[in-house]
Parts: sequence; C-alpha cells; structure tokens
Amino acid sequence: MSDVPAQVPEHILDHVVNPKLIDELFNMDPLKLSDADLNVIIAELRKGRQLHLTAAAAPKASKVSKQAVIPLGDIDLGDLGL
Amino acid sequence: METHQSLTVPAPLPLDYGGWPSPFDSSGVQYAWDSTSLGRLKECPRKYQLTMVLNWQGKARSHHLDFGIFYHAAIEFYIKQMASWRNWTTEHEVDEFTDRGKLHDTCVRNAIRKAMIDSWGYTPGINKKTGLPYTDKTRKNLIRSLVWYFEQYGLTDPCRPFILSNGQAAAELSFRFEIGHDQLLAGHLDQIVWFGEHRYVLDHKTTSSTVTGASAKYYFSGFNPDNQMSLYSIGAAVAFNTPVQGVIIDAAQVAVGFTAFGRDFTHRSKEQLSEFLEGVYSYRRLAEQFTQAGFWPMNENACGNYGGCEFRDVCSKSPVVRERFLRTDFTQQKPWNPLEPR
Repeated sequence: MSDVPAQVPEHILDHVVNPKLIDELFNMDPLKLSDADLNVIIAELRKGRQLHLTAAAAPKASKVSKQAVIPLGDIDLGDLGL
Repeated sequence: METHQSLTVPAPLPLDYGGWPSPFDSSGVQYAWDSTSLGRLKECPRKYQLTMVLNWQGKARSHHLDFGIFYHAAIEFYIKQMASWRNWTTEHEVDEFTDRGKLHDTCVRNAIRKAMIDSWGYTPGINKKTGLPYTDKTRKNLIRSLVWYFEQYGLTDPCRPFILSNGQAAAELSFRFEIGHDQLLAGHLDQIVWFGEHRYVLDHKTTSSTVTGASAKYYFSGFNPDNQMSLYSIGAAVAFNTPVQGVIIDAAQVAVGFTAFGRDFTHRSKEQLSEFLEGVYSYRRLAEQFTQAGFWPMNENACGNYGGCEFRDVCSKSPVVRERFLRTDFTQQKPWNPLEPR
C-alpha cells in the first residue's frame, strides 16, 4: 500500500477506493500505515459522509405519493370488481 | 454488627494508589471526590462500596469505555495540534501550515493514525440480549465518527479553543480544589472553549441515543440536574479561575450506518452550584456513617438503571453466598483514585 502517492487526486480515488481495500487497511498493523494509506481511509469516510448527508437531505416520498403510484400495463377490471 | 455486614469479603490489602495520595482519610472515609465516585454513592451506597471501597470491577472491560477513551484521545490530539501549529519551528512546516486547510488535513491524518494505533485489537463487547457483538461501536465506526467529527467541526467550529498561558489549548485538564469541611473535589475536563464572548466547558459524549432533531431533547435534558456537569461547572470556575457559563454537551450518536452530532448547553447558576456543594457535604456525612456502621445499604430502585446494574446478579443472591458469585465475574483491581491526574 505504501507505493500509493501521498497526494492522490480525488477523482482518481473515486475509482481506486473500494470496501475491500478499506478492509485491508483496517486489518493492517496500524504502525505500518503510510500517510497515503490514511489518506485513502479518510477520503473514503468523507465520501461516505457526503452520501449520508445527501441521502438525509433528499426529500422523502410521502405515504400519499407512494400509494398514488398507478401500475402501468393492462389493468384487469375484474380485479377492481368491475 | 455481624448481621449488618454488607459483604463477607474483606477489603484488599495493601491499596496501591500508584504513588498518588489515597482519596480516603485515616478513618477510611473518602475526602477527595470526583464525579465518578460521588455519582456511585448517590446512585447506590452498595455499588459505591463494591467499586470504590473494595475495588471490584467486571472481568470483561466495557467496550463503551474503551470506545469513549479512543474517541476523546483522538479529538484532544487534533485540537492540541491545530492550536499549537504556531509553535512548530521548521520553515517547511510554517510554510505548509499557513494554509489552514492543509493544517487541518495533516492534523486529521495524525489524529486518525493515533486512533488506529490506540484501537488496534479493540473489539466491541457482546450484546447480552442477542449473544452477538455490538455492531455500532466498532473500530471502523470509531474512525468514521472521528473523520465525520473533524469534517463537521474542524474548520468551522463556532467553539474556539481557550488557550492556556503555556500556549496550549485547554484540553484534558485535571483539576482539584478544596471545598471546605476537609474535602476536595477533583476531575478532568475535556476542553474549555470560547463560544461567542463566553467561556464554556465542552464535554464530548458518544451515545446510541438520538442527538439531533426533535428527539434530541430527551437526551440533552438528562444533563440537568446532573452530578458530572455540576462538578465540571464548578471545577472550571474554581480550579482554572475561569468563570464559565456552563457546559456544552458535544454528543456523537454512533449508529451502525452513520454518526450524527448534536450540541446543547447546560447552565448552572451560582445558587445551583451552592446547592450542589451542600449535597457533597451531605453525602460525605452519609459515607462517614456507612463506614462507621460497616454497612452500605442497597438502593434497589437503581438496580434497573441504564440497562441494569452490573452487580445486580450478585446483589440478588443471599449474603452468605454473595462472595462466591462476586469472585466469578469480578476481580479486585487497581483502586479508582480521583487524585491521579490523567
């Protein structure tokens, strides 16, 4: 892991970081973690926070709107008692 | 008096306070109190006897305690590094850290490195209800909580560190002072901060309770009245000659999939603190009576607090067999000493 450059551009990290890699870093002897390793962990956790905040801020569908979904396709009027 | 013995076990000998003075006077009554020991006595005299007088502790260390220690230590490390950057001497460092964002990133990385090292080998405890390990206070969630905390407050915290005369941020401060009647109060403050024009104690908490939104009031209302917060308020005011407005509770809700942060204030008036001190004197007199009688009564109404007292199973047994059960799940360990600085 120590051959990862210290200043990895964030858009590269988007492709590099993955849960398996993070697991490996967490399982490593922490005394052997390089600055770059720690940057990867921090970047991933920051990304997780952004995702969490985005999801929390997104307007939630109300119960009414969920119930108002109309199924597409042919409707068997017999199912509706008609 | 034989029938009044709380327990059949003798006090351990000799007590090792690690070179610090004993918090007990020559008659065996505690004279130096911190929020932990005072809180135990208030909660249940029997629990106080078991933990503070006889030094029994559970064989299994509380993972909540460990998690909190790692969390506190990393935040303290970050705060002190951020506050002390001006003292760093090499030209390279001064150049690099004139950019506050870079300084922040470096301090975050250093704090995370510390937390990764401190928590190496840490595993959460077993949930008695499920028989499985807890999934919220894991090592990964510790690191996540810290990174998210530094993201939330690192560069935009409205609480500014209070800088001591030695140039260091006022973080992890031990204090002790006399309160009269041959008694001392002692303790440790997480931080003293400026909020606007006022000084506050800032106390970090990790919890599974909701600390944001409308439900947060249930969590924060638990801190007034509160033994620990009253003691911290008076401790900061007296020991550091720093009139404080109260305590800011800086809470982190650690959940399986996220960490959320909430803050609230708890204030104490001079009259409330005076009343608190009266209470300390009264509990000291009680401790004296219990010591002389050799009997520490149970407070059965507290057995179910906070998910159940750890000694509940022991106390539920007949006094004649209690020691056997005590020795099964508990050990006598290093005495708790409010006079030992951290």
